[in-house]
Amino acid sequence: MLAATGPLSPGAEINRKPSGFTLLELLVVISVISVLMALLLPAVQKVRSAADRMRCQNNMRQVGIALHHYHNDYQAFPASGWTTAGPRNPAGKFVGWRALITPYIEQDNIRGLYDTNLHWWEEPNLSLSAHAIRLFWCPATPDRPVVLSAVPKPPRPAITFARPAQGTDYEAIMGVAASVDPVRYATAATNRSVMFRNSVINLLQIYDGASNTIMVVECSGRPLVYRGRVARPDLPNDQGICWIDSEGGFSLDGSNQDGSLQGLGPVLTPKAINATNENEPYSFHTGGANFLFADGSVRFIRENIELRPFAALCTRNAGEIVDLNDF
Amino acid sequence: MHQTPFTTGRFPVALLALVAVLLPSLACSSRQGPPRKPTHPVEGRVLFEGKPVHNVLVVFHPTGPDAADQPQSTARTDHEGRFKLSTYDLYDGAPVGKYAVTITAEEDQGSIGELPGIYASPQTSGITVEVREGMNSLAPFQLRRPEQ
Repeated sequence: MLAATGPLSPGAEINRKPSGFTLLELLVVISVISVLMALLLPAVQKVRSAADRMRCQNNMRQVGIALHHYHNDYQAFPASGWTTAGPRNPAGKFVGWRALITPYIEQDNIRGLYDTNLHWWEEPNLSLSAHAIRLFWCPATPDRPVVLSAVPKPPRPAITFARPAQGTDYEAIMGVAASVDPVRYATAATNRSVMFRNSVINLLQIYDGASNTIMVVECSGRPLVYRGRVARPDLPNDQGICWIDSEGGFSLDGSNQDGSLQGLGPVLTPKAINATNENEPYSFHTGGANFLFADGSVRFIRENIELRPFAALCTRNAGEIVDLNDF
Repeated sequence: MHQTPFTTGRFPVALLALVAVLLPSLACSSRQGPPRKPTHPVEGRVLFEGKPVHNVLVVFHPTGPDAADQPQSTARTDHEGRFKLSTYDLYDGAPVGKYAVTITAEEDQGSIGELPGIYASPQTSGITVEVREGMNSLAPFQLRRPEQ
């Protein structure tokens, strides 16, 4: 090729066959490639989010198996958090459910160091929160905040962490707030789920059926507050600080579309899932979230489900008829 | 000269077809269920043993003859125990009529203290209110511990 332009062939400049690409060809090739990329990239993104969703489901399934192992050993599911003394909590200290199931997720060493005769925010328990347990993390959650302090929530004082506290994306749902249906869910007799404060609930007490009752939900990104898909570091969060805490459990309230209002009934606050992570089910999956049912199954429920059919799944003893067409 | 369909006699047909397609979708997009009733602002206050209660749920259950067509009106109290009622939109009040009022403290909402359970049911709360046209500034609801 280079020889054709050499000094020994004087006519080569004129008779030379065009070599390489013209500008037009180059532009066509680039545009074709960019169109193909544009087709491909969303597909890659979709596969990634589907993989995240499945890994998240696997995590929740492991949590479900651990809870059932706990049930086998203690004849009841753990409470979302212990706050008072009882047969299961003789010391009467604040203990969270995730700390209690660590032996069943191959974290026996953490359980060995955890002292149930002390509150979770006292040493040596508090330092254990610096250990990240990946099983409690949904892979779809972006940018985990570095958590070095927590605002007080009486009787717990404000906390300063020596090493950053590690969060959790999975939280016990305690039941349904009365505002969803003030007549049906007026009292704890009907508005509670399986794991609530100081609960001792076994499988036989889930009268709505274990496969119709949600036990653990995604509440991703905490303690950073999200409304819609927007992180709101300006908003304080006194609940759901780290995986070891006992205070992250919540009841379903319902939110308005942007998550700024909660718990005013199904007309004003109709959104059940993915509106905000301020004590509401929330995930970063597209179109819905994963839920762990009391029978150990994990199901993806679309975020456009109405509040009341979803609330029916969040109670164990309200006698609602669950219609599978609703989700 | 070439003419597009919109400049020929076919234009009205095209327009009609467009309208025929759009009209049902417009009709479907309107709100389902019973029509909204006009509402009138309602505000009040909740006191338990004389002290304001924070973040409790106040619900007005309609008791009139067409109560089934009307959603419950709800509110939450602020730090001074004050509330503004909402039915269809935030702070829009409630339609004219008679209501049974329930007041519920929810454990996980950080409600201070425990309100007696009798105030959580419209049958036992014993609080009734009539909403009239115009501004409704209700007398404070004075809750007490039931006598043993």
